[in-house]
Amino acid sequence: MRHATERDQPAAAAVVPAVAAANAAAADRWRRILSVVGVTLGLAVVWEVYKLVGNALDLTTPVRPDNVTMPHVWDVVGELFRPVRRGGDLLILDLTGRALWTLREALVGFAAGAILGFGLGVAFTRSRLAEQAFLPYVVASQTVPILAIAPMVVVWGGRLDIPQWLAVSIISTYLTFFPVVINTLRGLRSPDSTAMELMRSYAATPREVLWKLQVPSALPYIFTALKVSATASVIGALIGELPAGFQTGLGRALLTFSQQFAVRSAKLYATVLVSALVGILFVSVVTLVEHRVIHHSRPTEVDALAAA
Amino acid sequence: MSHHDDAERDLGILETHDSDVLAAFEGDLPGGVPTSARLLRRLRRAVPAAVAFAAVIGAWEALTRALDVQSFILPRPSLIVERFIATSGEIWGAGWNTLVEALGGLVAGIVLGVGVALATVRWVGLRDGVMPFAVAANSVPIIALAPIMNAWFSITSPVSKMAVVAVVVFFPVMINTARGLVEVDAAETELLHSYGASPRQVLRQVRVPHAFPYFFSALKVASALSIIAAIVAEYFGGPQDVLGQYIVAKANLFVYPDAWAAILVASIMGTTLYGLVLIVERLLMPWHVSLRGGDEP
Amino acid sequence: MSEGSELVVDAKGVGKVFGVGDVTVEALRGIDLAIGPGEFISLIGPSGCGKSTLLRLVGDLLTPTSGSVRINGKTPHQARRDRDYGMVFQKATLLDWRTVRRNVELPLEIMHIDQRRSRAAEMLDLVQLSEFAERYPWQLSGGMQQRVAIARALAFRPSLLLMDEPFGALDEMTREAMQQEVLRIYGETGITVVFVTHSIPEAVFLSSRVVVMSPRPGRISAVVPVDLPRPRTEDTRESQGYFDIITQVREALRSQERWVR
Repeated sequence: MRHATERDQPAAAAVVPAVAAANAAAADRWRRILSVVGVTLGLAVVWEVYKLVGNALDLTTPVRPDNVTMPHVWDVVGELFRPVRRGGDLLILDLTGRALWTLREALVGFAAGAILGFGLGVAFTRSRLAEQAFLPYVVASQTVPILAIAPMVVVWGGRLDIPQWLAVSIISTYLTFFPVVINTLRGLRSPDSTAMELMRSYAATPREVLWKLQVPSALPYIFTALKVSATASVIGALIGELPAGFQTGLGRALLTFSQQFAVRSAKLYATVLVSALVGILFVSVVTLVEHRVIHHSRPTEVDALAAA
Repeated sequence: MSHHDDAERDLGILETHDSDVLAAFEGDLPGGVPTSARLLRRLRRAVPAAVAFAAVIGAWEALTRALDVQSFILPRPSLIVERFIATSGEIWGAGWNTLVEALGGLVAGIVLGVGVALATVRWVGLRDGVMPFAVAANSVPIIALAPIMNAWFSITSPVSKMAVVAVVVFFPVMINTARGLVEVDAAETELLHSYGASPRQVLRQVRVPHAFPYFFSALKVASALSIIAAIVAEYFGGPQDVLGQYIVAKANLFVYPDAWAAILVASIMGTTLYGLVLIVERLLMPWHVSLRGGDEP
Repeated sequence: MSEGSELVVDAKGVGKVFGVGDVTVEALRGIDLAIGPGEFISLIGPSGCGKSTLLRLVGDLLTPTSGSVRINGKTPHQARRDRDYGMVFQKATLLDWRTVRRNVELPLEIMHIDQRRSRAAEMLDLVQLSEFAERYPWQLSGGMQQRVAIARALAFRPSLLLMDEPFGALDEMTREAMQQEVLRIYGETGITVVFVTHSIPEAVFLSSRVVVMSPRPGRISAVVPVDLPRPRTEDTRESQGYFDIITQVREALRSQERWVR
């Protein structure tokens, strides 16, 4: 029967790609992890080789290969397991505590910025007027270097009796909401006109269109922005911690250990590594959430940077 | 005469359909849509933004005067402008130094980024190995490298700040440009291969033009980032006559209007740099920009 | 054939002008069209003749600038509110975060109709895609996606089905199979169909009447009745009557070109 044969072919053809796609995705993930680990190890090797060759040839540019400016990779790792100061905790414990503190600031700011950004995105989609009036300011807000205002924000917070970490969160919020607004807008507008006509033919209310069509379409875009925002939040938190008076947090540790560079440079390097890990951790968590929420469709590339 | 009833107002999509149809027919109209009409449309779109701007500044000024808000909490715009003019020698001097750091890092980052991107086109192994790492590295707070750069390149030298800016700029430029170069339609590369084109010719004729929008997209991000990265790198220490140190110094003395004036300088520089990128983009890619719609930031 | 009882679609003197001020395009002028229950009408014509615009006017996705349209005696707006029509577009436009079944349930959710699951199952049965209910759209071929789109359009039992070049993106063989599908569903449900197409054979094969349109401004230049017996099969495609009517339609289209503006 014509129908039977026409049905069978696509059926077989549909099953095979489904299984193959799942396998390919898993293999892809392993390949990516391998690459990151591989390149990191490779860089460590290059580091040591440069030290070896540099010391032999007495190089001074671009970087001095001596043990202060460029401590051995194993020294940096080893430093984590030495006390941070005489009689103090191990560096790794100290840094973990600080990392959690910084992470909290970043998370609160991230959450606030994401909600604000999403809300603005939805508002701008509903009201053309609001968009035309305020979108330019949203864009212009990013030319105000909040990171430059960071010192002021923290001092303001102090004057208004806000806990310091909360003031720092405001910086993270500011950095988060912009990519989220832009990408939410893009995502909410991404359904093609046919999809919108379809919803209209069902006499769907604007709210139904928003939640049943626009928001699910926007999710890939929003998550792309959230990954960028995750990093930005951490940066905001680190910078916010720099102004005088802040004792906890990774940012302060960076400053303190950079002052102790001549004495024990490995501490600074270890802190930089921990900071890097915090950033990567945060983005990985967001990526994991993304995979849970958007599990259905095949991977679509949304250019994160084109959106910013 | 209004053709829309409330049903159409429900969902603004019908506006777009109208203009789509109009656009489709435009080719058939003698002379096309007059440019004066287009200009008028664009001006009309700017009005709400201008009104909002005036309203915000006006409210800011009025409120701070009325409530007599102390200048260390939120200075009046008029006061900021005053200080901006009064200290212009200092802040623009500092601004220049910061700009030098930003530009130095920007150029270095772009050159390296594009270079590595081109390399990933040539050597597929490099691409598979490096790209995931670059994407991961992009999620690292690169600013944390500032103290290390200060140690490596002498805290007083602008090179230490340039190095930070370069790293910050490198990743987005490299990732985006590589994508633009590599993710070319198979149909286009096949066409050129059928002409017996060498890899270099394929590069020039197909890949590079395709990569331009991606490159400029990254450049816009990078140009904005460069100023901020320079200022933030300056927070970690260095010579005094740079914007970052100036802002911190004024903030610590609670002389906020001066700090805001310096921030205004930073904003102006950032916006100008972004604008320059837009101009260069329009000059180099007239075909692409004219295809794009209106509201891109 | 119209029975003098309520017409499903009654368009009188319909015109549509796009744009404003000195930049306008007259997409349709003076359209008179009456469609009775159970008819299968095709709209065919060259690009720019306004056939898609007319379909959208019927479906209340656009409003006419002159004349009137009545659907089952109501305004299009009211008919849309009453869920009188289902639409199928050239792009299947299935939501790719929903399974096939949930895609068919979409209109039922929005219209707050009960027993969605069983209705969706019924519809998927009608289009013979029951085994794919829990799949995602990207796992289906183009033809299958269109079948899901048809199932979705019929899920809430509209009295009128509007189709805008639904098979335009499919290859010839799939297209012919889909035409059979549509005819089968049409036969089983007795629904009224307005079908926009570029293809003369398709229009003739499916319809009871072929409405030929011409552009600038869009208007109806001819209506060709298709007296071929139903149910129509592959044999119909090889019958002399079929070819004759195709020729009639082709001539009607060609005669438009002789009008010089």
